[in-house]
Amino acid sequence: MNARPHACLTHIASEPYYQPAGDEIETFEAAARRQLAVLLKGPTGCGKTRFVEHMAWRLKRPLVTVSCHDDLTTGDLVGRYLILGQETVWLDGPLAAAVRAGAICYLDEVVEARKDTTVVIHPLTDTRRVLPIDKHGELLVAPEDFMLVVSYNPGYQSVLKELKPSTRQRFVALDFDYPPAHIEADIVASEGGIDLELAQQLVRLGQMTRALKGEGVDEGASTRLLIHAAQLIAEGMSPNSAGRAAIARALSDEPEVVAAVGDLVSAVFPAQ
Amino acid sequence: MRRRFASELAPTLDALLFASPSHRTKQRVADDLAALPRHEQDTVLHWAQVIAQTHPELAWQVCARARAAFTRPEGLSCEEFTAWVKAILADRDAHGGAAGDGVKADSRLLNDLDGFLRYRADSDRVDFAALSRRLGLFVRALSAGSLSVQSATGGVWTDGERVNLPPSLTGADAERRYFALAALANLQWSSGGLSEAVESVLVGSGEPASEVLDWFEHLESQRLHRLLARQLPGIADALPRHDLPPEISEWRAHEGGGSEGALANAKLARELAASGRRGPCASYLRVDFAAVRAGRERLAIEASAAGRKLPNLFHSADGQRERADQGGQSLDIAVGADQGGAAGSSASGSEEAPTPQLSKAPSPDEAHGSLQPAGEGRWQAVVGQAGDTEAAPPASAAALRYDEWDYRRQDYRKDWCHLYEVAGEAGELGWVGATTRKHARLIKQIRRRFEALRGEERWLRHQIEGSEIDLDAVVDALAEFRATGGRGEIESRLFCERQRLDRSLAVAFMVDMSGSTKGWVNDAEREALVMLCEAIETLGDAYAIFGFSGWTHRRCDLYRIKHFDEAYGAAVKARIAGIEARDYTRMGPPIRHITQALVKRPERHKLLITLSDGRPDDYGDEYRGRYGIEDTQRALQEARRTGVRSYCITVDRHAADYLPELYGSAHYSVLADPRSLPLRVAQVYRRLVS
Ligand SMILES: Nc1ncnc2c1ncn2[C@@H]1O[C@H](COP(=O)(O)OP(=O)(O)O)[C@@H](O)[C@H]1O
Ligand SMILES: [Mg+2]
Repeated sequence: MNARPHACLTHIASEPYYQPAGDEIETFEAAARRQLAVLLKGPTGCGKTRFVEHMAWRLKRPLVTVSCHDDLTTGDLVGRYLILGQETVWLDGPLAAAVRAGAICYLDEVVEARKDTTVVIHPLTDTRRVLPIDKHGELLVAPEDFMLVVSYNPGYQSVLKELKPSTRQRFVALDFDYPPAHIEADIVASEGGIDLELAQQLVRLGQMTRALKGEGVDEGASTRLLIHAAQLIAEGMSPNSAGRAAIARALSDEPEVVAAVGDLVSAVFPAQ
Repeated sequence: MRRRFASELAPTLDALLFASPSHRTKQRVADDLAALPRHEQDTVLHWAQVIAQTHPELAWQVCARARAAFTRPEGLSCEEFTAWVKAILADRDAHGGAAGDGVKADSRLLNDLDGFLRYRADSDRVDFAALSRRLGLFVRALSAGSLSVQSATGGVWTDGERVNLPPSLTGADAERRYFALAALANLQWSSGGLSEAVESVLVGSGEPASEVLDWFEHLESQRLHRLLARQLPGIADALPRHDLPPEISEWRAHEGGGSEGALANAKLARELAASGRRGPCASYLRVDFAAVRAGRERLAIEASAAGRKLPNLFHSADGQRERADQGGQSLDIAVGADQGGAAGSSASGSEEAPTPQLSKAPSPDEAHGSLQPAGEGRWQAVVGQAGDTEAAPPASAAALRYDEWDYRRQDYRKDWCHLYEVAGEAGELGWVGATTRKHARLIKQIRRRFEALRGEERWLRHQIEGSEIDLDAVVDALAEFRATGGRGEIESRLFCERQRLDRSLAVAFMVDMSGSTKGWVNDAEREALVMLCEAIETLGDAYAIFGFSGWTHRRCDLYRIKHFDEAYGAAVKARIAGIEARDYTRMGPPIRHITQALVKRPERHKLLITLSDGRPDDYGDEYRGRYGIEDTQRALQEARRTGVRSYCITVDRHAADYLPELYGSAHYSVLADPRSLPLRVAQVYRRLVS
C-alpha cells in the first residue's frame, strides 16, 4: 500500500498540557486496554480535544483527528481512488489510515456528520473491530492499538442532530464540563500566559456568564474563550477591552446580551 | 402640503375610531385637528391609528387632547408628542389594561403633559425600564441564576428571589449605580446577611426593633460595600462610601465576607441601639425579614409540591391557595407571606393522621382544603371526587378517553381522563396585527435568522441527475473503472444537485392556558406564538398549536389553535388572540393526545414543545404534587417511545426542582422574565431545529 505514513497521522512527541478534573485519564486508559471506543460528552471549548491529544501522547499512539460536518461522506472517511497520470491509486481516508496504523481516531462533533456516514464506524465498535472497504475490496482488521474516540455536545439540543441509540450504545462515555474554578484558573494562567490572580478573575467572569445559559446565550464562556481573553491581555490589552472582545462579543449578537456581559466585564475589570 | 379640512378629517376619524365605545361625535375633534398644520395632523392621525388597534377609547382621548397639546404656549414638537403617546401606551401595557378597557378619565399621563415633559427633560435620570433586561441578566449571572430584578418603590431590598430596585435614579453615574446596587443586594443575600440566624439575633433583643434594624442596615451597607470593592472593583466605586460617624469609630463594623460578618454586625447593631445612640444616617439596602421569610416558605412549599422534601405540606396548603382565576397577575402559586404560619401548623397534622377517604362525597370546599393521605399503599382507588360535580363538558365535542398513570398504584387508571378537543375561540382580529407591528423589528430579525437556517442549501452529491457534473464522483468512477480493469459496474451517479435541506420536521406547541397565566404570562404566550408562527413560516416546518386547560380528570380541554395542515391566516390569528387564562394544568392528557396527532404525521422528526408557567396541577389536591409530576413524566416517556421528542419552555422560577426529572436536563429552558418569552421562544426553537 502506501509506503509513506499517511499525512493525517500525527505523532505527539512532547506532553500536551492537560489538567485532569476527575478520573478521566484512568477511565480512558482502561478503555484503551480493553479496546473499547470512547464518547466524550461536553460543551465546546472545555478540553476534549486537548484531552485526546494528551492521551495519544500518554499511550504513545499516533492520532488522527477528523472534524465532522454534514457533507462528510463515507468516502471522505474511508478512502477513494485517485488518478495519477495514467495510474489509479487508492488513497486511504483518515479512518482507514488510523486503523492501519493502530492510531487513535478522533471524530470531533460526530453528530454533525451525515447519518449514513456514522454507520461506517459500527463494525469498528463491536467485537469484530473491522472496517470493510467495499470499493477497494478490502476488509481491514483493526490492530490492538486502534482506538475510536468521538465527541458530542449534548447542549446543542437539536432534534435533527441527535446521536442515535444504536450508535451511542457502542461507547464508554466520559462527561466533560468546565473544570472546577481553581483548576480552570491554572489552565487559563498557563495557557494564556497571565498571572494566577488575573486568571482567577477571568474564571469568575466565565462562571457568571454560564448562569446566563438559555437566557440570551446558548452556552456560557468556555475555557477556550477565557484563554483567548487571557492571551489578549498578555498581548498588552486592558482586561476590560480584552473581556469585551473575547467574551462579551463572542457570546452573543443580541445587543442587550452583549451589553449585559459587558456590564459583568466592567464590574470585574474596571474600565480605564 | 396643505392642511386637511375638518370635513376631510371627520370621516377618517370615524373610520379609525369606530370601535371606540364612546358615542361622542367626532366632529369636535375634527374641528380641533383642522386647526393644526399638516405635519401635526399627520402625526396625530398616525398615532390614532396605532392606538386604535388595541385601545380605541384611548385613541379617542389622545385625539381629543392633541390640539391643546400642540398649541400650548411653550409649543410641542411632533417628536415630543410621539414620546408622550408612547409613554401613555407603555403605562397602559404595564397596568395590564386589556384591549377594549375603558380609559380612566384620571389617567395621570394623559392629563399631565407638562409633568411628562418636565420628567423627560430631566436628562440625568435613568429609568429601570430602560435597563431591566441588562440588570436582569447581570443579577442572574452574579447569583448563578437564582435572583431576578423588578422595580419597586421603597428602597433597595431582596427577598432571596427578586432584587427590588427603584423605578428611576438620578444624578451622576446613575446607570452604574443601578448595577452596583443590584450587585450589593446579591451580596447581601449570598453572604448570609438575611439568614435566620441573623434575624434571630436582631429581633431577640429587647431594643426597639426599628432602631436595631437601622443600625444593622447601616453596618451591613459598609460591610457589603467593602466586599463589593474586593469582588467587583469595577462597579463598587459608583456608590459613595458611607463612613461611620467618627464618634463611634471604635465600634468598627465587621468586614468579614461570610455569615460570621453579618452575625457580628447584628450583635453590634444591638449594642449600638442599646447604648442609646441615635440611629445612623445612610444605608444602601433595606432589610425586610418578613419578605425573606415569605420567600423561604414559598420555596419550601413549592419544593414539596415536587413531592420530595415535605410531601404533605403542600396538600394542606391547598386550602389557602388563591383560586388562580380570581388572583391577579402573580406567577406565584403558593401562599402569601402572612399565611405561612397556618400552612406550617396544619402540615404537622397531616403527617400523623392520614385521613381515610370519606365515605360521603365531600363538598367542594371541604375537598379543596382537606388532607389527603400521600403514603404508599394507603390509598384506595378514588371515586366521586369533589371535582366531578364541577365540570360540565362542552356540548359541542365528544370526549376522548385517556389513561392516567397513578404512581401509588404503579398502574394506569383506565380511560380516566375525558379530553375534549375543540376549536379555540376567536379573539380580537386586530390583536395579531398590532403585535406584529409592535415587534416589527424583532420579527424582521427573527425572519432573517430563520431564513439563514432554511437557506442551508447544499450540494447533494452522487445524484443520477442534476444541474451539474459531480467532478469528484466522475474522478472516483473513472479511477475505480480503471483500477478494476473495467470489470466493475459503471457508476451512474455522477451529478450533483443543489437542494434545500430536507428538514422533515413536525412540531406541536402545547400552550398552558391555566388560570395562573392570567395577565402578562398569557400576553407573553400569545406574543411568543406570533413570533413563532412568523419564524416557522419562514422555515416551512409543519406545525400545530394547541392550548390546554381543564378542571379535573372529567374535563380536560384542548383548544385547537392551528392544525398542521391549516395555513397561518386570519382564522388562526384570531384564535391566537383568543387564547386566555382558564382553569388548571393537568398535563398528562394533552400530552398523550397531541402525541397521537404527531405520530400520525409523515415527517421523520417529531417534536412537542410545551409553554408553561408552572408544574402540573389540577383542581382538587390529587393531581397536584407528586401524582401530577409522575403522570406527566409517564406521558412524556410514552411520547418518547413513539419517537416524539419533547421540550419545555417555562417561566416558573422553581422549574429546576422538577423539570430535569420530566424532560431531562438538556430539554427545557427556564426564563427569568416572562416578557422575554416572545424573543426567547424563537431562539430556543432555532436551537432545537438547527
Ligand atoms: N483540562 C485542561 N487542561 C489543559 N488545557 C485545557 C483544559 N481544558 C481546556 N483547556 C484549554 O482550552 C482550550 C480549548 O479546549 P479544547 O480541547 O479545544 O476544547 P473542546 O475540544 O472541548 O472544544 C485548549 O486549547 C486548552 O488550551
Ligand atoms: Mg474541540
